[in-house]
Amino acid sequence: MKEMDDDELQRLIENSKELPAGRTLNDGEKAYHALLEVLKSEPENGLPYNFAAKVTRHIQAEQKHKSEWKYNLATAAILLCLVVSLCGVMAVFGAISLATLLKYKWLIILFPVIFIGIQYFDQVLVKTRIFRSKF
Amino acid sequence: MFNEKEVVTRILNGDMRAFELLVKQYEKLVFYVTFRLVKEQQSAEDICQEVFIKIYNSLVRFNFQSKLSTWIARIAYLTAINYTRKYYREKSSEYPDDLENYHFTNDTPEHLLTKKDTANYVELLILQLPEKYRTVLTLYHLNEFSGPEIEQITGMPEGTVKNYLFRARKLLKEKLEVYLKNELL
Repeated sequence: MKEMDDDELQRLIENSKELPAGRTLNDGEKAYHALLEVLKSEPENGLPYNFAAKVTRHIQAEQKHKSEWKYNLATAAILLCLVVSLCGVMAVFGAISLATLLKYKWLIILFPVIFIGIQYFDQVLVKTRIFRSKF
Repeated sequence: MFNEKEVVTRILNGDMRAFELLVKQYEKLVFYVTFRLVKEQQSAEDICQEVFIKIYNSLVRFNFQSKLSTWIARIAYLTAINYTRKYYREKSSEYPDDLENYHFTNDTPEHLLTKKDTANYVELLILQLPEKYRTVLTLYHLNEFSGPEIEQITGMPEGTVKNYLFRARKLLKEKLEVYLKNELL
């Protein structure tokens, strides 16, 4: 009896069709059957049982981190505006001269920069470490 | 019953429990694709996390033109492929045109003796196959994607997918045939 070729065999076994009448499985066909059974079965390796919760917590922490960062930037901008406005008002009413203001301009700019710097190091170094130790 | 439209809508409205549900639904799919490509448990776990973060961030762009599982599998496939390109730098020689002449590296008699059963043996052989063959086998048999879906996921033409599938199964069958004969002796 004519042997079936691999192409024919794969199609036959995959579609779970019956073998032609009077045909019994040879070694190759048995191997195909065993192989397709194994290919369908799930491997032993897998993700930890709490993987979904872990990913969700990670995303929530990232979201919190982003919103905190936005809040800090907004606070720094408001702080800078306030200081500039205050200096402007003081200059207009003659409490302080424009020359003095220009002399201390870097000090005025330094306040919001220091604020942002502190927040940055707090988030990057401290909070990230706390987050990593938790998860 | 998992209703993907409802779940996606809930996630886009900020429901993190719905996202957790989505992760639980597709974690096996993502893991199988990544594990078969990177072949390391810890790396596969890290990539899975990265994949789901990408999914969360890109979900707003998902327009239901394909199945959610196909879209997720594509993200998983591309992320795992990028990882292997970056860290393993697999040489082009890993993809022989003539798979019939492909040699498994550790198919020694000692190794054959240590294999617990057929499933473990096949898994070991799959992990030694070239990347594209591993991917196609996994997506087709384990994740039960069709030829056109695998084309969408991997970008390989459907004919190539079928060809890889046929050649990989033929090669595995030949190895398994010898293994089963030895086991019966």
